[in-house]
Amino acid sequence: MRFWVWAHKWSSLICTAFLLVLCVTGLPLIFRGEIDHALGYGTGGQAAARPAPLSAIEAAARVARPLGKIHFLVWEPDKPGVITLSIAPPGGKSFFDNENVLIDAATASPPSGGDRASPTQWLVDLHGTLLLGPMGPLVLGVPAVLFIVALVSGAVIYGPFARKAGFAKVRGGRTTRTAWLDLHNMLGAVILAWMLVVGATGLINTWGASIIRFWQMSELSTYAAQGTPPTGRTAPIDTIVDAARARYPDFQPYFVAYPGSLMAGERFHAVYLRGPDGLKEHIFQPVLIDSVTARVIGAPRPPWYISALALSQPLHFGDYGGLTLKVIWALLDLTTIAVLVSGLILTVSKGRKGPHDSLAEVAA
Amino acid sequence: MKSVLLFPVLVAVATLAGLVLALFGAGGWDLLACALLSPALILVGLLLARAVGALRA
Repeated sequence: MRFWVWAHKWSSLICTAFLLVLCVTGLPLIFRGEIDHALGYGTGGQAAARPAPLSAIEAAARVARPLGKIHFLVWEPDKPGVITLSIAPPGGKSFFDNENVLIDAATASPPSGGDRASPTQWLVDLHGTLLLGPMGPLVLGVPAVLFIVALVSGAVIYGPFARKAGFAKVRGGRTTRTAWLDLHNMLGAVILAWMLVVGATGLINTWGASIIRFWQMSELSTYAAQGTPPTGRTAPIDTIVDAARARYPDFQPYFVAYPGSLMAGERFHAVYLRGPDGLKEHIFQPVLIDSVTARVIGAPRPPWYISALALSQPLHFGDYGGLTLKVIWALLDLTTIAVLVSGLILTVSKGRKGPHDSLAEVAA
Repeated sequence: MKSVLLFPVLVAVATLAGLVLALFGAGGWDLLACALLSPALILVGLLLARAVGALRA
C-alpha cells in the first residue's frame, strides 16, 4: 500500500498544475460553438441556404490567403453554413502552423463575423499544445500518463479507506482537514470513471498527429502508386467530393484532405465522410480520389487505432450528445477542479493534521 | 467485494455506459445516457453539501 500512496502523491503533485490549466481551458471549450456564435464568429452562414460551389469557396480562401496552400476543407458540425479551410502559410513547417479561414458556404464570401478563427481558437491551442507548437502534445502526454497513474493509484488506496469511512460520507465533528480529505476521496471516487475516460482520450489525442502519420506511412502511402502523376492540373474540388459521395450516398462529407497534407497522399485527395447515425457518425470513412482524374482509387476501412482516435475527440470534449451532455460535462469538469484543489489543500496542510485524522492518512 | 465498494463500482459502470451510449446519437440513446450519468452528479451534489456543512461546523 505504501507504494500506491507514494505513486498517488507524486503523480498527482506533478500533473496537478497541468491539469488545472487543462480543466480551466477545457471548460469553455465544451461550449465552443455557442461561445463562437455569441461572439459573432462564423455566424453568417445559413445552414438551409443552397450551398455555393466548393470551387468558389476555394477561390475565396485563396483570395484571403494568396500565398498559402489549402490543406483541409472542413464542414464543422458546430458551424452550420460555414466552411473552414485550414491553410498552410508559406514556410509552414507543420500542421500546427496552419491558419483557419472561414467562408460562408452559401455566398462564398467571409461570414459576417470575419474570416478569421475566433478567440476560442487560442484556447484550443493552449489546451491542445500549451502554445508550444508541435512539441506541445508530446509535453502534454506526460501529465496525461501521470493523471492515469494518479487515478489508478487513488482507486487502489480508496478501497481500504471506504471500508473504514463508508461511501459518500463526510465525517462530522473532526478537523477541517478531515472534511477536505473526505471531500477529495469521495468526489474522486464518484467521478473516477469519467476522469479515466477523459484522461485516456486526452492521452490518445496527444498522440493524434503521430497516429495519423503512422497510418499515412503504413497504409495510405500504398495507394500512391494508383494515382496519376501530378500534371500541374487538378480536378475541380466539386467533382472530387461528388465522386466520394457517390461511393457512400447516405454519408455526409466531413472534411477533405488535400495532397501534401497530413491525411492525404501526394497524388490523391482524401474525402472523409461521416455516417448518418450511431457510431458511424463519429468514425470517418475515407474515400481516396485521384487528384487529376477524380477517379476513386480506394476506400480503405480505417484501422482500429484511427477509429479509436476518432472516438477520442468527442469522448474527450463531451460535445457529441447535445446541450444536456455538455452541461453534465461542465459540471464534471468543475468537480475535477474541486478534486485537484482539495488535493492541493491536503498536501499544503499535511503538517497541520488534527488528532482524529489517523484513519485516513492519505488522500485517495 | 464488500458492499460498501459495490455502490461506487455501480456508479462507475453506469457512468461508462452513459458515455458510450451517448455516442449512438440523439433521441432515446441520449436520454438513457443522461439518466446513467446522473447518479454521479447527484452524488457530487450530495457530497458537496455534506462537505460544506462539515467545513462550516
